[in-house]
Amino acid sequence: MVAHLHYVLIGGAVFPLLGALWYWLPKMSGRLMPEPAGRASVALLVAGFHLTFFPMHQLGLEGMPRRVFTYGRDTGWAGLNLVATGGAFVILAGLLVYVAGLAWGLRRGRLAGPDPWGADTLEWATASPPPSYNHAPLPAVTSRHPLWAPAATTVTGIRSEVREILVTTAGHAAPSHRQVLDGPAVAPLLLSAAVTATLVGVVFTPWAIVWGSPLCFAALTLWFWP
Amino acid sequence: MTDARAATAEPRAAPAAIDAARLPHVGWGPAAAVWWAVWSLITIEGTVFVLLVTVYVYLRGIATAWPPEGIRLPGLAGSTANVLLLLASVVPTVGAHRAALRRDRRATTHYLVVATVLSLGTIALRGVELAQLHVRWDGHAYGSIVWTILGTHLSHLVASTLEDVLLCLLMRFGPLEDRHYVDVTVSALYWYFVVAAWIPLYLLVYWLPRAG
Repeated sequence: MVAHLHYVLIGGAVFPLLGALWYWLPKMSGRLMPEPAGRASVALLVAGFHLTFFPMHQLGLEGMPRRVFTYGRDTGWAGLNLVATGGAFVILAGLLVYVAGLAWGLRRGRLAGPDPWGADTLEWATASPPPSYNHAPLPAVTSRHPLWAPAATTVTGIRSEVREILVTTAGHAAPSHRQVLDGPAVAPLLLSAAVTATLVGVVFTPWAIVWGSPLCFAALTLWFWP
Repeated sequence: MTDARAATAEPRAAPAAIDAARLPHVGWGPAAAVWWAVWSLITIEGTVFVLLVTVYVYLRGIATAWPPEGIRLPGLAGSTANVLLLLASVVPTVGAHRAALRRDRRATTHYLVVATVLSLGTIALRGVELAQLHVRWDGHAYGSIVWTILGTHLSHLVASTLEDVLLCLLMRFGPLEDRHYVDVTVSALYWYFVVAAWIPLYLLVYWLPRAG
């Protein structure tokens, strides 16, 4: 039970998270994480993970329940549990190496440049860390591997003096129209206040619906009206 | 890896740009964000109605008598008149929908006004329906569920009517943009849902008890 659970959770969620952070931190920070620390932490984590949790499969088969803090000497479980405990310290060592690698990389890592991995996806087409506008000009994607495609197409004609965005069709991502987004406005804040007042009000009296909904409607109208 | 890629990658050709400057400022139907918003709303509220039907059928299944002893059957006059009015209101709504698609401000306004008047009528008739339920909301589980069903649907009638009133005012007096015609079309979509959802609820509340 414990063995299976941790194989799924650590193998399925924790390892990918650690890997993703290592992979994308250069994009966020502009600096590469140190490769030796990366390799060492992978080795320690994978080895420690199997040392810790693989013996638990056998212990479970031998009848050891989970969440017990002790067991009799005659059960014969001591050896495998000792291995598992040792493995936990190996995992700890792997995590320490990982964190130390991050700390070092963020301060002194080599400059990453836009695409240190030779990756295929769009985030690697822009500088690391990315500027606030991400891409200038807007790239048009025509393949699953846009950065490996022979030529990149771009979109022009989106105004930058208003908040204009390109909207594409949902299925084929064909350019559909240019939507002008609203600027800063007070109506959304008023609506949030009205909804909050109404919902807090109904805790105390159902009449809050009666005075609250006109408030919400007024805020919505203010928002909607051009 | 950077070196390996540089060796294999083709030199980039000059990008052939897509010129968005000629694209319109509004999208219709699935191209509009509000279209998705309204369909999401319909999905959520449709689920609420399904849950209400489930509760009604469950309560009826465990009750010894439905409606309970001493409570008369809900009145058919107001409710049936309201179903007919709701169905009739679809006609001007379709009119407004189509006029909005061709951006005909005059026709859209006229149809919207008629649709708004009819939907105000459905709210008034819903008042008659509630009076003809012959039961209070706190009198019995039967009363609670029929009031909840009629009331939940009433809140949709009111919300949609208020939206129609706003759109009427906008069409008549407002600084109009193309996106407001899109609003009219998705508002019509919402009204179709409000009408369509009521048919099974009407049969449930008014005819299921009569069917025995």
